[in-house]
Amino acid sequence: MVPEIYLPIAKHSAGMFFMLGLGGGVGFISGLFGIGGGFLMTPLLIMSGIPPVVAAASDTNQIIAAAVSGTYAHARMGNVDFKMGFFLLLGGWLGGTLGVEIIKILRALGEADFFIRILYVFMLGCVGSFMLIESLHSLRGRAFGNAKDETTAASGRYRRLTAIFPWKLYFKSSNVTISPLLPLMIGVFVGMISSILGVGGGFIMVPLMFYLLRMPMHLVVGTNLFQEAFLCINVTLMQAVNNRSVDLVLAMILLIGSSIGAQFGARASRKLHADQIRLFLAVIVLLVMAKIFLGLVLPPRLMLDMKGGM
Amino acid sequence: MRGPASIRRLLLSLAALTALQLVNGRSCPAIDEPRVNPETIRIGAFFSGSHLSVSGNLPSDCEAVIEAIGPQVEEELMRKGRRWDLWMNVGEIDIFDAPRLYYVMSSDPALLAGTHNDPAWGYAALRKEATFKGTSVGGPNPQLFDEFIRLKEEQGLYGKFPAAVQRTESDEGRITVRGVFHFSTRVAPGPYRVCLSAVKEDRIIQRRCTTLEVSLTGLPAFLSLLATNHAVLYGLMAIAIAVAVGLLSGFAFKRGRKKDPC
Repeated sequence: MVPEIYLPIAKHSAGMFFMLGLGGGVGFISGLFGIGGGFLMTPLLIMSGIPPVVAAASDTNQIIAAAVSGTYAHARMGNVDFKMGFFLLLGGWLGGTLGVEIIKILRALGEADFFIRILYVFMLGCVGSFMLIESLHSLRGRAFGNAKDETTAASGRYRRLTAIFPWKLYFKSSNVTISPLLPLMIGVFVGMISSILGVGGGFIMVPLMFYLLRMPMHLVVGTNLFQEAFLCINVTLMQAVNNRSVDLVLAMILLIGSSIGAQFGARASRKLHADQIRLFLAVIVLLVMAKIFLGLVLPPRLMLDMKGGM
Repeated sequence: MRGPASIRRLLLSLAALTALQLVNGRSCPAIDEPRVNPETIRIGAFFSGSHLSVSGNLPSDCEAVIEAIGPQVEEELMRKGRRWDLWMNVGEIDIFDAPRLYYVMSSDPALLAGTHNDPAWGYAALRKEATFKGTSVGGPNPQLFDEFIRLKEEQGLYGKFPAAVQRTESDEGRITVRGVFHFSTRVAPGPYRVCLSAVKEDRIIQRRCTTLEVSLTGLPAFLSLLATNHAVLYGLMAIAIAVAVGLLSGFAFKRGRKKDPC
């Protein structure tokens, strides 16, 4: 008999090994790509019967463990740019507050559900497609050695873009000199999007850090986990106090699985080339996007649902 | 102050009720309160649902209907619909006067076949009581209740089980009836009723109910109380555990790697 464990906030039981496996699998991906894995874990939890509000809140709670565990592993390898992470974090807090207000307005207009789903499909579609094309292009270029001219042209565009922003700072770990306004603005944008979508935002943050901040991929992974750990601490407390939707038992099972999985993921990330990591992440992002898109176009099995899934 | 006419009406009603009892008593003697085992369903840390055995005695010429009924609560639902060719939640619907949980079983499968006129048991009885309110109800809509039933059955909170009640001959023209419900893990704590009805010629002759308590115990009770009454403490505890597990696993893997000769 498969042991079940009662989830006091979700208000039903779930298979213990299934949840441990789910946490381990998503934790591995989290450690590998340097993302919280919320965009993957939350839909998977909902599909396995956990109410959406509890799934999102408990997932945020368990991401803390995966992010702390991943940050610890990456920091020891010197893969965290704390200075850059601070500006991203500051922006993330501001953007998160802005996103909450936008959601309030959309809920009042009765368009929140539609907007969130469309935004999910759009963001995942854009990020996934861009990363897929870029990584395939890069892999091909690496194989045939013909990417040099394009890289030089892109560097020129990047220099022109970064020259717009004042107060240049040297970020030693990342070896880039840019205005702190750039990571701050990225933080605001990602924080806003992630609070609207109810996810950590790593799947948007990772490509933006790589392409816009020009950080090396191994630093992108560690730094994103660092800023995500602090963002998730804030969200967990807010969800526990305002919505009473953090299921500690569920989060604990998931976090045991995910923190172990994240360690294996972090090890695996050192063995893979940056382009391969991007290619795998792009495929996963596009698969999740396809699942959400199908949910929008195919008729649902049930025409009624509990509000908040409870 | 009541006049002679109303007193006469009251006496007549009492006489009619007494006569009905006598008639019923001749064809179907009084039934006992149903016996339930266990009397309390406790939801602990490893709760995987619970079996509830219900038994009682009936006259041998009666059929049995056994119901487990949850408390009536207002439930907030979201209705799905198509907008710009996409499926999404299009409106909120509140349902009133429907039990949170409803299981029904019968000794005769025909009693739950939906062919009876105006039955006082099963989904048909619930349909008469339930009311829907909300922006997307859009007037009387019989399909709405069917959709609600499908949702509840999917959650394991509603169920009908024809012929699941076993009859065994007892003494003095009576039978013992027994049925077993399986309560889903989604059962919520609270007071429930378990009712045994004696049915003859498609009508309930007698109905007796007993109470069943569903309660949280152990870790679920503690965490539920903490999350509700001390939310800040609960949130901080959740964060502290997550940080500690993250650091511990990071430290454990660091030690593991040191021992690794590769």
